[in-house]
Formats: sequence, C-alpha cells, structure tokens
Amino acid sequence: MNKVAKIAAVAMASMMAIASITPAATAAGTTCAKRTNITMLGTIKIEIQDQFMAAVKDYNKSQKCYTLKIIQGDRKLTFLQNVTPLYAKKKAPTIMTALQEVPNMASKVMDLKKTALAKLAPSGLLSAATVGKKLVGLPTTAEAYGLVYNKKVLDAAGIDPATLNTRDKLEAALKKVGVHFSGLWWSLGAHFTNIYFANASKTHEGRLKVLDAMADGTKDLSADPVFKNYMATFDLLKKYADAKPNLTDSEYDTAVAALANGSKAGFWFMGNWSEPNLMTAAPGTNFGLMPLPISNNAKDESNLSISVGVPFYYMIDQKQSTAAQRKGALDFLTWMYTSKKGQHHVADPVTKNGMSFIPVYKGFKVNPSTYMSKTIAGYIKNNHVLDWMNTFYPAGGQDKYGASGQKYITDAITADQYAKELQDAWKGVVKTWRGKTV
Amino acid sequence: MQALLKHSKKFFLFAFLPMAIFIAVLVVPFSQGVFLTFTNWDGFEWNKFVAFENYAKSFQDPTFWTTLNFTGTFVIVSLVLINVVAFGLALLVTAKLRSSNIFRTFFFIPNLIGGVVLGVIWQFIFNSAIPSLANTFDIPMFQESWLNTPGNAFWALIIVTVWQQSGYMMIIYITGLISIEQDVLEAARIDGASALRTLISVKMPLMAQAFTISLFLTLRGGFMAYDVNLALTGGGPYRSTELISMHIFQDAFALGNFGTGQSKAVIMFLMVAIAALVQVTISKRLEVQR
Amino acid sequence: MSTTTRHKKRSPARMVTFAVGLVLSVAYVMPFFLVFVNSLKPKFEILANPLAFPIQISWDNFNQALDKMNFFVSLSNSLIVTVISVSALILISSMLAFYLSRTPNKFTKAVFLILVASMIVPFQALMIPFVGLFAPLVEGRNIPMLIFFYMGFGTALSTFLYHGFISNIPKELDEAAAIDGASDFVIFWRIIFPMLRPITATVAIINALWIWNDYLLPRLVLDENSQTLPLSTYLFYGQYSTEYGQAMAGLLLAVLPIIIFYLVLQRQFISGISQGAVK
Repeated sequence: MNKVAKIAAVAMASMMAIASITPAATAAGTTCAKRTNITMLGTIKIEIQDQFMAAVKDYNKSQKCYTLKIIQGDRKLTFLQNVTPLYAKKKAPTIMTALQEVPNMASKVMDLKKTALAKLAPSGLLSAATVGKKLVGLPTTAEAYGLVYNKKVLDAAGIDPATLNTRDKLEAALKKVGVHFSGLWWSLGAHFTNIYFANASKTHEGRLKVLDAMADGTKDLSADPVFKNYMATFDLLKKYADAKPNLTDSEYDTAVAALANGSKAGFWFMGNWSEPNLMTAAPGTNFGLMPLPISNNAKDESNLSISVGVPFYYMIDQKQSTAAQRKGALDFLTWMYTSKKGQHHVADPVTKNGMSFIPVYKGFKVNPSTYMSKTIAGYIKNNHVLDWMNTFYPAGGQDKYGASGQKYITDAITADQYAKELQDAWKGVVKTWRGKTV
Repeated sequence: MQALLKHSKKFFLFAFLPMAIFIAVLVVPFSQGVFLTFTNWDGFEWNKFVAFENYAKSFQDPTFWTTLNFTGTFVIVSLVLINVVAFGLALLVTAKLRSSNIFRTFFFIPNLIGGVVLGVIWQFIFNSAIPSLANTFDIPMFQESWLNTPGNAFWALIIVTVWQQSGYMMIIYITGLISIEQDVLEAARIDGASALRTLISVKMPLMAQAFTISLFLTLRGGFMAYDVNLALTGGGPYRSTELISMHIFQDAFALGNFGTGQSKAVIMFLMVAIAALVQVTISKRLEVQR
Repeated sequence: MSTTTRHKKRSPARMVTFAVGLVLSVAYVMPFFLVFVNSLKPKFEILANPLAFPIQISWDNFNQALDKMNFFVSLSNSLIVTVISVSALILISSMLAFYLSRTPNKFTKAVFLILVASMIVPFQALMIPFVGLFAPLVEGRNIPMLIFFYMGFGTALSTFLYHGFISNIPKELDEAAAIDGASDFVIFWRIIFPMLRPITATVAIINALWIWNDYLLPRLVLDENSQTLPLSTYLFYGQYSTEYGQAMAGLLLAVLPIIIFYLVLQRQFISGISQGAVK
C-alpha cells in the first residue's frame, strides 16, 4: 500500500466511521469579557465563498469570544501577491490558506503540532506542511483530479469508464464522445504536469529523486519513456478536443457549460471541485471521475489511479497576531471540523449550502453523498491513488509550467521545446521536499 | 524685516499646506525609493549599500527586456493610433452635421469609465461575444479568442486603449480646430485650396499646440498603462503582454524582488522623463517653426 | 437659401460622413449595450449565446449584485472620496498657484518646476516605499487617508492648470485692491477666486474622473469594509468561475452614476477639458 493510499484510506475510514472520538473543546458556551477580532485571507476557494461565509456567520453566532472577518484579497493576484502587502502594512491575516507557498510562510506562522486538529489529521497529510520540525499547516480537505465524465453521455454511447484502462481504449471512447481540454494555466501547470511526475517512478522516494534531478538540471525528459507516454496522452486530448483551446479566465465556465451540455464532449480533464458547478449547470445529471490512462499497459498503476491530495493548508500567523487571536483562529478551525454544525458546513453538498468537501479529519459524522464523491471513494478504497507531486512544486513554478503547457496546447512550441522549458524552469529551485528552507 | 514677515505670512497662508502634503505623499516616498535601490533592501529592511547591483540585476533579467520591448511597441502603436483616430473623430464632429453633438457624446463615453471596468467588459467581448458572432457567420479569424495568442492579445490591448482614450484626445483636437479663425480658412478657400490641402497646410499647423498636448498625454498614458492591462489580459497568455507597470508590480509583490522591482521603477521614470522631454522639445520646435 | 441648405444636406460627402459617424457611434456604445443585454440573462444563457436577447427578462442579477457589492455603501464611499478630494484640491491648489504666480522669485520658480516635473513620475516608482511609509497611518482611518493621498498626488496638475490661468489675470487688479487696504487673503477670495470659475470646472472634472475611476491606490489603501465602486466590481470574478450575469449587472451599476452625471453636465465636461488643453 503506497503512502498516499494510506493517507487516503485513513481519510475515507474517518469519513465512513461512526465517530468514537469526543469532540475537541471549543469556545461555544464559554463567556468572554470582550470579543477578539480575527481575520482570514480569502475563503479557501472563491467557488465556495457563499458557503464558507455561511459557516463563518454561524461560527460568529455560536460563541461570544471571537469575531472572524474575511479579507477578500484580490482574485487576480496570487496568494503571495496578496499576503506580502498585508505583512508590509502590518495587517497580516490571522488565518491564511496556501499550498506551494507553505515553505515561504514557514518563518511567519505558528507551530500547530500540539493542536487538537493536528492529532485528528492523518499523519501522512501533515508531512507536506512540516518544515524542519515545525508543523505549519493543517489540511483543509482532500481533492481528486483525473478525467471528469458526464455519465449520461457515456451511458448513451455505451461506454463503461471502468474499462478504459489503456490509451488506445480511451482513444476509441474519445472518438465517440469527444473531450474538453482546458488551456487554463493552473490546470496544465499543476495538475496535468503531475500526471507525469506522479508516474515518473513507482516509489515516493523515486519520485522525489526525479524532482532532485530536475532541480540539479540533470534530468533529460525527452529520453524518459514515461514522459513520452505523457506527451502522447497530451496529444490525444488535443486531437479529440471539442473546441479550440481557450487560455483565458473564461475557460473554466466555458468548460463547465460544454461538459454539462455533453453534445460535443463527454470528458474533461479536471477535478472534483467542479462537481458543484456541473450540477448547477445540469441539474439531475451525474458526473464521475476516472483515471487518465497514459500508457497502453492495462496493468500500469497510472491507468488505474486518480490523483488525490490536499489543495490548501491552513496557516496561522505568529508575527503580527496576539495570543488571543491565535487561540481564536484555532477555535474556529476546530469548530468547523469537529462540531456537528461545522461538519455540515464542510461536507454537505452545495445544494444544501455546504462546501462539498471530502473530510480528512477523524471523527467526521457527516458524509458526502454525491455521485462523484462516491466514485472517488471507490478508487481510494482500492488504493488506486496517485501522489500530488505538485505539492512540492516551488512557489510560482506552476505558473511557468502552465505557460509552457499553454504554448504546447496552442501549437506554439514542439514537444521537445516543451520538455526543455520544463527543465529550464526547474533548474536551481530550492529542494523544499528535502527540508531545505526558502 | 517687516517685508520678510509679511512674505512668510503669505507663504504659510497660501503655500505651506499643499506643499507639505505634496512633499509627504510624493517627494518623500519617491526619494526614499531611489535611495533604496542602492541598498540590499528586501522590502522590510536594509543594512548595506550595494551600489548599482540592483540595476545590473534588472538588466540581466530577460523578462525585463521582453517587457521593455513590449512596452515600447505598445507606446508607439497606441500613440499613433489614438491620435489618428482622435483627430479623425474631431474632424467628423466638426463637420457641422446636425448629429455632431450626439456623436461627440457617444465618442466620449468610454473615457468616463475606469480601465479596470473597461478591461473586464472587453475581456467578455473578446472571449465570448466575438467568437460567438464568428461561429454564427463562419469567420475563422475571429473564432478563437484574441486573448489566446500573444500577437492578437497585443492588438486587443491596443483596440481597447484606443477606444478608451480617443474620445478625450478628440476634445483636445476639437478645441484646436475651432480655435482657428474663420477668415484664415476663408482666405484658403478663395485661393482655391482643396479641403485636404487646407487641412494639412492651414489647419494642422495652426493647431500644433493641440498635437503637442495630445501627444504628451498619450505618451505618458502609454508608459503608465496598468488598469486595462490588468483587467483585459492580466499579462497573459503566458506573461507575453506584461507592460512595464505590471511587470514592476509582479516583480516586487509576486516574486518578492523589492530591490530590482524598485530599480525597474526608477528606470521606468527615467524612460518616461526622457521620452516626454524629447517629444515636447520636438513638438515645441515644430510649433515655433510654423 | 432653403434650397441650398437642403442641397448641402443631401450631398454625398455629407451622407458618407454621417454614415461613418453613425457606425462609429454604434461601435463606441456597443460594449455597454452588450453588457446591458447580458445583465438580464442567467449565467448559462450568457455562456451559450452572448449575443442573443434574453429569453425571459430577469432583474435577479441586479438584486444579487446590489447585495453582493454592497452597492450603496460603495457608492457613498466613492462619492465621499471624490467630492472631498476634489474640493480640497480646488482649495489648496488654487491658493498655491496664486502664491507661486504672484510671488515671482527663485524659490517659487523652483517649486513650480518641481511640481511640473513630478507629473511624469509614475506611481510605480514610489508605490513600494509608499506602502511601507503610510501603512501604520492608514489603519482605522482608510477613507480620510485616501483623501489625503489624492490631495498629494493631485496637487501638481491642478496647480499647473491654475497657474496658467492666474498668470493671465492682470496684476493691476490685486494691486488696486491692495492699495484699498485689502489683505492677500481677501484679495484672493473676493477678487481672484471668482474669476477662476472656468478653470475650476476643468480642475474639478479632470480630478473627479481620475479619482472616481482609480483602482490601484484604493486597492493598496482601503480594507474590506470601505470599498469604492471600482474595487467592488471585482467581487464577481472567481479564481476559476465567474458569475457572469451578476458581474454584468454590477459593472452597469458601477458605471451608471458617472454616465448620468456626464449626460446631465455634458457641456461643462467638454468645455472643461478643452479649457485644460489650451492651458
């Protein structure tokens, strides 16, 4: 059982299990002399903003000690672009969420090792947020990506997603129903490249060694058979795409509309976060998630597995906050993931005003119930999960890999140039996956 | 002594407040900014002088050269097109049509609205409206969003900039055109000069000042453009349409390179200053000659 | 007489001019019309066909946009910042210009030169230290500080415009008043300032357009609870997904006040800008 599978299994187990853990203590019920203001930058993801705000509102009502306020930040800007001016202004948010930027923030945020939530989280999910001996982040949820499909369309065409375990079989299916391939920089830069890095070696250490070689500038991607397979799949999706690639921000909504409509595309390379959008666009239709096969060997783990990982970690500021604020921040997070009301906000489907998150903490009593979360559960149960190597990408790295992907998807560069650009972008990056600090 | 007293009283009464605010808001941060480029400042603190190291690093950054190149092209193309279009519009609305006033009203409207809002509106037009129209009528050139490829995205940026700014420059040209005295034009007509001839040899030289102002404003606007860039292309696709303002913002706040970011900003200031000086000097010389 | 005018109106050249003007006018306002049409449609109808008229007109988007962008709060913030900043700029820069132009010496000449030169300093060149310097002062007094900053950034251009105008007012006027025993203060407010009306309109319009639409400075200065209209229109744009219908409605709501203002005061706008151009 590989490491990610273990993590995911724990997540699943906790999701399914009847909780036997007493809820962690929160501020509910206690009285405070005056309310302490705490702030959070963003709402994890803008897509669930309304649902997250509903949780915040409930939390503020549920106790008398803290008031949580959301700082919206600028959506056109990255996490670091938003947070750097706030630190410069001495108005750092108490709570922040990030992934690849976690190492950049390590010196500014508090150690969460002794918190109640850290004890409830599967230890495997904490390793990516451990810098030196300090635990600097807590997982928000788990997410999965691969080929999203419109079940109605596949059923009508007589395609069983479970049988599509080689690239050739996928091609036969794509001929019938078509695929939507998004030219979004983050999708191509973080998720699509991970299909290569997660399959580049069979062991976790082997995959980290590939990253080492990339950082040292000694890796020749064009000579790697896995990379060749990866590029062949890239070409396949380009070939059967339902529309010309769209590189702009409007792409996500266009893609949701295309897959929901289904007349030209039955598949889309994306993740489970799109399910709420798809269900809003096509009420009553089921959408599932399956692996993206990258070779013609039906036994390859790569063709049987979906990528599962933590998209964002919570961090709590240490430099510009008071002890009371830090306590409040922890109290809010604990409330969200351990109280019944909080759990409903986290795991309920969007139609019930929840965030539709896959829970990762032990003791969860609310289970996700949508079709896609059930298909994901199936893969996790059978250990068919791939690492999120993109967790280890350097801050700003996925922008560069995404740019190269956008060039390749629009035929602006060749496969060899694409490989070369990836190698150049990786050369000299700090090996945070080896515990080096930025 | 009494004169001095009276003088300083007048100074405090009239000039002290605006000058103090001006110095606090503009002069102090700017001087500090220039000073910091010679130190190892990291956005928070500095502890040693590094001479021209930040400037050297800026010029070694290949993306900075791409940006300079892109900004230069943008300034020249937008400057030419805005002024040609604005002058054309000015001629159109001074052609004494009954509908002139309504035309003028319409042409000026884009100017009322900030670049961010305009950029967002046009992003929708380029991404959705135009491809949808092109698909209906099967025009291949417009079926793909113009914001997809670096070359087309450049023109998209130009179109929106021209659309936004031509109305303002139009007003300046109208002012120039109507300030020309009627008897001069009458004399030209009696001499049998054609409309085009009158325009080039009589009207344009007589309104040279309007050209000086309009060229100066578009030059400055081109170098400082930020809002439309941010909202329309966001620098994409793949950072190919980043104008210098956005590049500086990215360098400093996204990548945390405060030293080079600030140096690039000083370089930008020098470029604007030199370009503006050259343009105004040439224009003024032409004004005098005519 | 009447035959010649009719003939003139029908001449081919005039027809072509009119046609060109008409086409261009349509091109200039088309984007706003498109935004309006789409603001009446639900999101997926917009994505499916951005050019079609709504199947069923619905004002839902406007209700949601009003609510989400906290429209009336943003509107009043925008109004407060613009009105106070512009009034303050008129006040301080007209007085500074009066001083600089009526007290000719080395010092005032140097000050004037520095003001003119500062007009070509890009905001980027001082943005980074600016944020660091003023951050502690901004806390808790967002709006007053923003007004203060606009006073600083607007002084140069406004003073420049007033300076050109005041220099053309004959000095004999204030000298005569001075002989009658009027103080400088009285001379300025009773005699000079009323004469500055045309250029005051210019200063007001140019600064109002800039401040009303400004994005970067408010973004750096204001926090969540005190947004201006240009900032609030960004609320509909997600990292991945955009609420198109609401965004269209929000954009329209954000531009409506200034367009109405312009249509009402059109004459003043146009003459204000021409006045500024001739200096």
